[in-house]
Amino acid sequence: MKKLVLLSTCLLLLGGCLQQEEAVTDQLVGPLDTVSAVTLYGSDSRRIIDEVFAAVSDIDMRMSAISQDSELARISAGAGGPVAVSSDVFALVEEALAISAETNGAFDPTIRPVATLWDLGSGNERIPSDNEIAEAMSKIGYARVTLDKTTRGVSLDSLGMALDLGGIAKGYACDTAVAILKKNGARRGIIDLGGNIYAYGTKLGGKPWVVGVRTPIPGENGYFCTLNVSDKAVVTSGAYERFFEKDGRRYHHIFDPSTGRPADNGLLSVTIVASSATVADALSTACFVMGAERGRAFLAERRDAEGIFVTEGMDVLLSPGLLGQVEIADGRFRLAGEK
Amino acid sequence: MNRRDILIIATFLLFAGVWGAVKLVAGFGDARDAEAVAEISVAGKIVDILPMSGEERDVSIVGALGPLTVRVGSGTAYVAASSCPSQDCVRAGKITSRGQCVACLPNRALIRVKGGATANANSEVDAIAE
Amino acid sequence: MQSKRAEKNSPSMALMAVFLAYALVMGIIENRIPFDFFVPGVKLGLANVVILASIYLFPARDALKILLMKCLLTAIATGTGFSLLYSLSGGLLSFLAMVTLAGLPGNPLSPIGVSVIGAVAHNFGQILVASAVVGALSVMAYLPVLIVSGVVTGILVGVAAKGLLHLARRHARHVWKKPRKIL
Repeated sequence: MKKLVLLSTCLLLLGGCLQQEEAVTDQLVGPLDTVSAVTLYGSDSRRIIDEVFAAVSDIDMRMSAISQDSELARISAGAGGPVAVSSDVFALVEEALAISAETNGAFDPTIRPVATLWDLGSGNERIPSDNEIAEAMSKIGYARVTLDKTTRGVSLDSLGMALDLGGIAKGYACDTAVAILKKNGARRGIIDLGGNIYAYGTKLGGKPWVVGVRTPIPGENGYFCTLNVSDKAVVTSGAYERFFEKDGRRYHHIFDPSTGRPADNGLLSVTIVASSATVADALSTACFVMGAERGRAFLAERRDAEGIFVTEGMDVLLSPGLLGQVEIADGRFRLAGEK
Repeated sequence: MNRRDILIIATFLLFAGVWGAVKLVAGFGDARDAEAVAEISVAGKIVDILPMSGEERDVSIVGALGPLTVRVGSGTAYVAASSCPSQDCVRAGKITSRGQCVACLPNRALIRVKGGATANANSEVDAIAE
Repeated sequence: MQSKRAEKNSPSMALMAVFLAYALVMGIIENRIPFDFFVPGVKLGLANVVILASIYLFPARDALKILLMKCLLTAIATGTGFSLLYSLSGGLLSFLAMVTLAGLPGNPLSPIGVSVIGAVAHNFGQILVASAVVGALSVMAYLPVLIVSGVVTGILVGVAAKGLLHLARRHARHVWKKPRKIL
């Protein structure tokens, strides 16, 4: 009897001492043009989060298309001649271009001249003329970026072109953060870089994290559906994020590189779930541009990503891998296939 | 089942019932103990901290680009007006619980909720992709 | 102490295996039934029918063996390291309580009463560990819910175990040399 008491007491105490798991959350404002938050469990959390934020700030500084000193700005100003960049920038440009090719240009990191033309978010938004759009489109095209593997040189074939990794930078920063977490042996946490989510590990008790997707209606802050994920990135692109309205029509910030205008496919938002946040980030934009039909077909072939497509008609379409995994939380939205 | 068993069962149920009733009335203590406050900072420096409860009141702060008006009260906080060109912060809407925040990046202003219950105490999600 | 031990036989390997198999299957089945809404790792405890029966049928040492193996095997089959932690802490606390109460002279409590206390102790053990893991006592707020569920499952398990013990008395005298007047 005494042995039993001793044994059970020891085990109870052991359980208590094993891991003091408290959640630590911190925010980073500014880098990547947004607010980032990391929540970690475990004893070393604060230090790991600081390391993550330092890396995110670094990525922002070096990959920002806007800052004068960034490597990308130098490429764009390079007037056609190759600019040698650091190895991670080069690798990211390579990946961006590969995805551009795979999506047939739906994702295009050279889209900047078109975006600048429409100038969303500046307060000076207006609808450009067809001529202006044609002119801007003459300065885009992912195939016109030349990479030299040996020198790590990147060049654009004409003046006026620009390389912008904004559509993939947050995802890349997210993957970098995940690598830092893994390196430090972190067991569980949530990374939220401006809405790009990475659910790292599982919750306490071994359950997957529950990630909601923002209701794609401007002004509403809730979520319309949830999914259970573990070690996956969840990235959403939507028309609701940045737009202006004129004459009853909404002009948003996700441009279709083939038309030079905001993608007009009847979609409110696209959410991609993938193991790589970089891929999820790029594909969320690409699939939004592609539209529900092409986008779902594209994802079905890819296998490394799944998607949730929300149409203007409030229908929610899922790629095959997510069937049964998504729960609708807002009755205004209908899961396609359900009555 | 004998009398003692029933006694034990009744005692447990009574205890649970009383405790549960007390909790319902008094609220789940630790979650509501610390008051929720809105912490407003500009360029990393805290410029104001206000309780989220109570009547709505406006606070004028000066951001990097110009003035902003933050409205705090009735359990919510939001940017009522801002000098920034894109007005993303105004469109972001209201925040209500610990862990949520609204930022005006051009103005380098950040409003955070500290203390009080987290949103997840009531809802299921651990994060929202947006 | 001596005379009590003489009343109970140690179970044969086959019997232990049967009990364990039951516990394992119940463990897998109840894993499918989500019960841990508030406290991670909390389970229904259906497998405890055999644990409780073992406490009455076999010496404490053997009953403990069955408990430990049940926890280990169930965790291997279904859970993470954490669920093993929860099931061990709950299981041991509950075992302790049940062995003590079942051994009380005069049997003031029937197996049902013992089972109820065991179930409540089980849940209590689990939230103790959950509190330590989460690092806050906020999990204790769910104690009333767990007490009620402990009472309910305790009654169910107790009734089932009682049935099993009746059967043992009637058909398996060899398991039990001298049945005590607990039924």
